[in-house]
Amino acid sequence: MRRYHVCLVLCRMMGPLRVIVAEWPQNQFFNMALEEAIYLEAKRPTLRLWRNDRAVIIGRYQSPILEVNALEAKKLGVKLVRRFTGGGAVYHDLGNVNYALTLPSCESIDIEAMFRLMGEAIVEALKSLGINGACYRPLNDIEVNGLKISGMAASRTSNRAFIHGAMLVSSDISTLWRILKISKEKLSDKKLTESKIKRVTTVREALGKDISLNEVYEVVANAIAEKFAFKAMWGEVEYDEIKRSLDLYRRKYSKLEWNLAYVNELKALISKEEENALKDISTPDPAQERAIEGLEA
Amino acid sequence: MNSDKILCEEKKHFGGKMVKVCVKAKENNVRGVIITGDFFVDPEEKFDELTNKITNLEVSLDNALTSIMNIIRNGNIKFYGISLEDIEYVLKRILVLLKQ
Repeated sequence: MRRYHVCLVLCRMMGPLRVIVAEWPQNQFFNMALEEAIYLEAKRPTLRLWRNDRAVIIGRYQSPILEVNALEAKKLGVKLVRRFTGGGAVYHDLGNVNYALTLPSCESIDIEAMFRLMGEAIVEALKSLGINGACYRPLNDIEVNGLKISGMAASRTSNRAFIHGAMLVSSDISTLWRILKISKEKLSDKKLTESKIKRVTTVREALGKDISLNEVYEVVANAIAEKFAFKAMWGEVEYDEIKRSLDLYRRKYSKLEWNLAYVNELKALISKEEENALKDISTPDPAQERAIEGLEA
Repeated sequence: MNSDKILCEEKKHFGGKMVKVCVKAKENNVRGVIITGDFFVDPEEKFDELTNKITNLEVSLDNALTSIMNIIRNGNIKFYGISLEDIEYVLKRILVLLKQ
């Protein structure tokens, strides 16, 4: 028996998989705080499904200076938030569906095993939607006929595991290319040139038609529950999770110290205008603060 | 007075992830190293410790490669998507450029 099977058995003993749709798309900083809060609380196996409004979400070990075209992002009203997991920058908008699985009491599963299991689950979900040619591409991508449709990231501590991903359903891909700095090295093993970038696709493009959000949520939830052998039960986000996410939001996700890590040391590489744009897009604006006002009570 | 010079280079692990290394230098000394990218690490807090150790590291250009790679190797970090050799390769490239 593989070592991680033991941890999944222990995790299943904590009850069914709670599936929640919990999102505050207008405040991308709070949405990311909630992502970590659910993982840190880890009361029971949980699958969160959610969306963000326009934002570039960078990996924990990335420098915004090297990854994001801040002037373009500011012009387009795209915010920048750093997530707590590694991996690369992704573009979120309301046409993108995020899935996040928290597995308490599961420490022996390694990152590669998590990616493989979740990758296979998302491939099954895409097949259920009627999409042919989907496959998991290690380390952390899911592709349809060679084009990326979903990427994943993961984290693990001494007593829990976490894996999340973003699936392009009907996202505006053109914005993605405008705000990300794509290096020639990144394209080097994909036989593509910068003038002919076609590395990603969406569910809508692969199906040739629109699909409802509820259908996507249902198919993804069922596929993940089945792959990890859980019984799924739809539930709600809890008070303690909201409380913890508000704390994380105030201390971490709304702060430049977190979102603009690896920037101070490299500031000499950018103009003052770009630096100011980076600060602007990495800070919640008053309307975003208002979007979560009611949660403080 | 000469100001710090920053050089960044990157390498994509074939079929894997990208590592981007930036080195801050002045005259014949390295004055800090930043390692970033879309890779994954385990345990994560060890990478934060590594970053703290090398961000303001002062070492001569001649000794930089050995010193930096020793710190990274002693960090006991498992990298996913990139290898230690990738980091070493990029570092070497930057140090050669800085010595020119």
